[in-house]
Amino acid sequence: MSDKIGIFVCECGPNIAGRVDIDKIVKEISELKDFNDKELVVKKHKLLCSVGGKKFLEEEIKSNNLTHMVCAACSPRDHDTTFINVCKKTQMNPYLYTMVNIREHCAWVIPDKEEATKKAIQYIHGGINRVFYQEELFEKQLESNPDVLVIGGGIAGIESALNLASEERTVYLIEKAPEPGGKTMQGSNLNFIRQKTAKLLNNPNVKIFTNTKLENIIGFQGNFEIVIKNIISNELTEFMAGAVIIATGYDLLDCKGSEYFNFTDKDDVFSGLEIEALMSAQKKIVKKNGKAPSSVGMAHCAGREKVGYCSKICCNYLLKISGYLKTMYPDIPIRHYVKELCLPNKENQSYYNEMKSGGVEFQYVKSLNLNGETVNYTDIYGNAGESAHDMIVYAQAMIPASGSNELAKLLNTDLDEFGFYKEAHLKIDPISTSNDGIFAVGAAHGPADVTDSVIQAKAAVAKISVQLIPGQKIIPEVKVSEILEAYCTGCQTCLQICKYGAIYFDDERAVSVVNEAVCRGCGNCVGSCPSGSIRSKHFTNPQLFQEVKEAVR
Amino acid sequence: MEEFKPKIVGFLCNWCTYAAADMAGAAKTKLPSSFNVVRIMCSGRVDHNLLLTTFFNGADGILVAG
Repeated sequence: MSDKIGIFVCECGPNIAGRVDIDKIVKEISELKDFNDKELVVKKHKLLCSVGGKKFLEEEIKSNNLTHMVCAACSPRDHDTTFINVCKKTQMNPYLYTMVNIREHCAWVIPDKEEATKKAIQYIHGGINRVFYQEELFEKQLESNPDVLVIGGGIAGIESALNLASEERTVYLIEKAPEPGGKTMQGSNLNFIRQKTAKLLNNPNVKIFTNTKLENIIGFQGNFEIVIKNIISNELTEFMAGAVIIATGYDLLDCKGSEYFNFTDKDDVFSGLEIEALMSAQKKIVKKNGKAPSSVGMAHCAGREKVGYCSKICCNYLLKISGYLKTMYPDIPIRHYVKELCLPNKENQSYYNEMKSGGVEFQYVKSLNLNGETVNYTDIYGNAGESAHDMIVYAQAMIPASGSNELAKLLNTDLDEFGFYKEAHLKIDPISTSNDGIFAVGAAHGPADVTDSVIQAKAAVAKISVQLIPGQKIIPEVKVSEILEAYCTGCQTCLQICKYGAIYFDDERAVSVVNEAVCRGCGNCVGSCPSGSIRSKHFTNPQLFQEVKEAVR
Repeated sequence: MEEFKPKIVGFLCNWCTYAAADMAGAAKTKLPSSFNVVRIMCSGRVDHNLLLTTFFNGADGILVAG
């Protein structure tokens, strides 16, 4: 079958048509001399991405028996997938089509209409050259395991497990402590976490492994081979899972005896969690000798400067503890030492107002030193002050959970500058990690309260639910890298370069091999290969040369 | 003498700079018609072969952005 190429120029309403001469483009492209041996079908359309436009393309491809297609329209970031889906309905391989951007990079940026028209023709010409160098690519289907491994049995892990587990999907929840519950179990309001834990224990589709850590994991989304280890009996368990949720929570910065926090175990200085434990065990807040406090100081932001971020939840829980104290001992003075008050979430402001009008004092300070129960501070005007209390409650910074480094290495995910799990994108993909199929939720990727953790857990659940549908196969990226074995010298540079861990070394044949299920087609290996043995499909050098050749003509 | 208009080829990363160029387009920023965009999936993809071939073909400058 001889090549027959369809070139479709989109007017995009007035967006393209108003700024370039569409008819001139159609005429000049039809008259191009380079393609004398090939048949060109050149047409324009008002709006290719519309329902009518897609129908038009489909009919053109079918009735003309097109082998290749070029769509000159908007950015491929907008509608590449739209036209690929059109191709899929026809006999044409979707990878024998290319999109040329004559809107954002041409019509909209070149004010002179004649010049813009010339430019559009040049871009389309490059696209036609390119499309002849493109190759047919075929999607593959891979078996995929719908089960999920959840690492960490705190509120984020429990919420993930409860929402994911079903008859068709087993959840393996591993927790390094002897029982699930995490930090939430150390709080004073245990009702909700006890309810959740009970639900978890009764769910036949959740397999809980306590005193357990991840020993090894290999594979990719849909096909992770996992080994877990009981840290007491050293017993190993192996299973397959399609996705992993990291819900390892946080630790707290140890402030005792640090530069600014000079106190010992004997002093009546308590962390927020220690007060929560008191409330939970004795239902009241008392000093270490069992007596009621007569004056309480609240030290905010312990270690905030050291760690370099705000821990988000502490101002709120110190206010909550003030509330407890006000109820128990209405007449004692309570004084907060605040550098910068942080009150996110809609309900916190009114609580703060309530405390303030109820007589709780807020002393704004530049710096603060704790000596036992005495607070030495410099206020915001630079004046030194000293207050003696007989009880201090302090809020220490949340820090990454211990063992995050080792776990991140095992999972091949990145940590951020603070040591928390790094988001694939801070704003628009905050629960994914750099590794497909591995998600981080809750305080594992930065200070989070219970609400945040639950929201994030549910978000990860939603992503997994659509990516790993029980019984459905997964289709990995098609435009991946390919290593030509004959040219590979076995230097393994690409193994170091690949961020996704998609390349492995075949010892027997002494060559690097791409795992196509993991490769995302970024092509970094191509740029790094000293022997030029790697090509990235759909972005090969010959294909790009065609675009370049026309661009500089 | 005719004004020198350097032919510049920009290899732009699909995920960041190409998207930024799209936004520049949407904002109707003016660009010289001698600037040409070639989309790649990551600026790390660019190798010496691609750069040299671009120069050999007559480019006056190359912008690799990502």
